[in-house]
Amino acid sequence: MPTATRRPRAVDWSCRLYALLVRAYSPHFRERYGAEMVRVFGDCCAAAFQYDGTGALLAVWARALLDLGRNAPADRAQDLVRDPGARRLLFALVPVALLLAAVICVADVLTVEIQGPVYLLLLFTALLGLAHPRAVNLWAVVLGASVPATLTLARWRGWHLPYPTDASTPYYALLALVPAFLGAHGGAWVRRLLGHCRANLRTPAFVLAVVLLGIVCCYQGVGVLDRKAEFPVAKMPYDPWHSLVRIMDPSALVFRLS
Amino acid sequence: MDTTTVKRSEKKNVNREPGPGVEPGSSTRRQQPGDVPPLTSAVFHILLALGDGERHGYAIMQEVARLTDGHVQLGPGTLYRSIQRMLTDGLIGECAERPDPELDDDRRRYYRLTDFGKRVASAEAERLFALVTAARNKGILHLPQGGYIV
Repeated sequence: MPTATRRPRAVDWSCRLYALLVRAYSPHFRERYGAEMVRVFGDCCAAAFQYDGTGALLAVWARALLDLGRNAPADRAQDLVRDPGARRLLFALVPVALLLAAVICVADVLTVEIQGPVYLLLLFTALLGLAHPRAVNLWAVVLGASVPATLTLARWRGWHLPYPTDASTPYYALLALVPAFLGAHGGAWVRRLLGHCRANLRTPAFVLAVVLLGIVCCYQGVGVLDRKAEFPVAKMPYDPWHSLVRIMDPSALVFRLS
Repeated sequence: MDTTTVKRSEKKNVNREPGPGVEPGSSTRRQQPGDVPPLTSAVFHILLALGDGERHGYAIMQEVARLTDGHVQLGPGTLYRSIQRMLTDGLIGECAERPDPELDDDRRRYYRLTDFGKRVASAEAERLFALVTAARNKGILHLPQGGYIV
């Protein structure tokens, strides 16, 4: 064995911290290369610290964090795609999302809100984009064509569609195309996002974020119900621009909170 | 190389190289350099770093930095993800023999270029050389005084 030289404390702590961060990689990769990565990082830190002290050590850390941010999600995503269990889960989620989207779309057309289906379409097309990036292009075309077609048919047949579906404007068709194209062309992005989620699944920050998101969603849901009770939907004035802002702008929640 | 040998070597995690130009898992077909997906910059740099002998991870990083005058500094993640991919593609192999433990940390893993890896690196270098030549012919590349391309 080579003679063990005592490392500076900063380098030791850097190695320990980096060993924790390496957990962001997939277990398969970590088991094979984790120890080596920590050793290499320790060597880099020791050399930098010896060369130029803390400043150089911080530079090594900055590079390592960038490297981690770039590679860990990619590795997780790769692992996710390779993992047959996760793939089965994704393929199972697609029909479930489709069914859910269909049910809520029908319910929403017959009732009031269009936000629900838009969000669900976003989820559905994102999942479809993951599983079948090519099929989702066709989905986008069908979706884009179906919205104005439905509205035209409703107007021609004289069906009464409550607000806001009643407004035969291409705005909703355009809005519906957003998730479709996101799903079609954002497959890699979604994979990366899923990789991030899996990488952070057990960290306190992620759990806290999920809890906060849950609280916000509940509050928003309660707020929507309150508004419905306060303003009967049929009497609400129609304003496409306001609807767009309301759907896209999360700061509406801040307004509600105030 | 028979399948049993390949399986045993995979299990041991050493000597992963299935033989020069032979695809992992197959015992007959010789892989051609064109079979490998386009090399990333990191992979090509690692191939170059291993061109003159076996090295461990940190030595590869240092050699890449030296070859590029410090312009390319591989991070541990980029390095080991590239190594993982290169082992799978059969471009490099892990050395079963370790240097004298008195001279080095025996926990380090050493990597070396396979024959197939050499051919791939050579093909990539030729491709880059052709590009440089084209750039020179179009007047895009101005070589410094005394610079030359053979």
